[in-house]
Amino acid sequence: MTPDEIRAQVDEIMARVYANGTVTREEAEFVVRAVGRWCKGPKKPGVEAEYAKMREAVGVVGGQEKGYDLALMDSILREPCGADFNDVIVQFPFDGADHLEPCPKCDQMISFRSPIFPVSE
Amino acid sequence: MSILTTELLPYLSINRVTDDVTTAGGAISDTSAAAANNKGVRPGFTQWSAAATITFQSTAAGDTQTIAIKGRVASGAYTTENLVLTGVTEKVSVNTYERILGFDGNTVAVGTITVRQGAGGTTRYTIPIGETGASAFFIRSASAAGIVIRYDKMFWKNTNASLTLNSAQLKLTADPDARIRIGSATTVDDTVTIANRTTAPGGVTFVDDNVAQDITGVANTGLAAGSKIGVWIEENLPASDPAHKTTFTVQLSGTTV
Repeated sequence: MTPDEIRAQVDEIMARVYANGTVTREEAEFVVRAVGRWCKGPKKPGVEAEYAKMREAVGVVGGQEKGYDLALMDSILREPCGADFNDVIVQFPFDGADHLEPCPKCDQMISFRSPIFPVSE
Repeated sequence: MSILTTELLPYLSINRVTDDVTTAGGAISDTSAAAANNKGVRPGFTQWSAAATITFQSTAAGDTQTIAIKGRVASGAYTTENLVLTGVTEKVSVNTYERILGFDGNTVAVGTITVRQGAGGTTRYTIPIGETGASAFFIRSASAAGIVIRYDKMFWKNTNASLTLNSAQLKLTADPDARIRIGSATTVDDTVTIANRTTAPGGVTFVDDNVAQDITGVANTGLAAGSKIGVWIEENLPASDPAHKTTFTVQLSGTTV
């Protein structure tokens, strides 16, 4: 599917959700997977204090004007992972429940709240 | 010319509620908003470092609008105040605030308005020409005997005139008090509301700062010029949670030609 087709499909499914209709489990998974979710990787030991200090120096918004780059800072803080975390999310009911689950690749614990979909049986 | 970081702008939604019963979320509060006080309200002002007044000083004599201020005074009481600006002359609030929670004008700024902590003090925000103000999230959101979960909404807008932000991703990059998760709206340019801020938005998955999120179906098309992506914010207050005066950081990143 092209990105535009994906968007159109998501819009159609969500229109039913907003109209208090129902969707199938497959349709709900389609919406979940339409937003890629990637594990950023575990934080490197011993760098959190350094990261916090840099983060404070960045200021409220942006930071580029001060010579900082938030994206690069993430690479300083973390070991790379990149696992598709949607594979974990879709293993649970779409009921709005709270979860704390390990990344399937790097094992760091990730908290998330399942999306709410009115799934038809 | 490439997209500048200053062209990727955060805005709040038009329903910036201060209770748990009013409709929340909705459309973006940028210059396209219908209501005058919603025409450009952003997050991201710097909080007061000590109790002080709030002052406004414009570069234009025509800035004589009324600014609605929200904050907490030294006693902790939530307080609002309306202040009529006096153009290029610094206007000082009546109240002294322990913290500022928001300020927005009833018309857009004609000049650039500098917002300071105390008369002649440190600049904490600058209201750009054509915008109205700034606000905090989750105003008056106290903890309770049980867990309380609330939702608020912001947007990232690509204001470049022609270029798409490719490979766009949303990230929560700082959450010092570990109370926040974020969820990408399911579609770009959305106007979805929730019945009140304790009602979860349908179809949105919330993740912590260990996960980067793409924007719906845009792996190859990115965030187009003029488009905005909604970001739902979840605040999770455990039972009898102590008071917080904190910040969090949401980042939009991508590539540009």
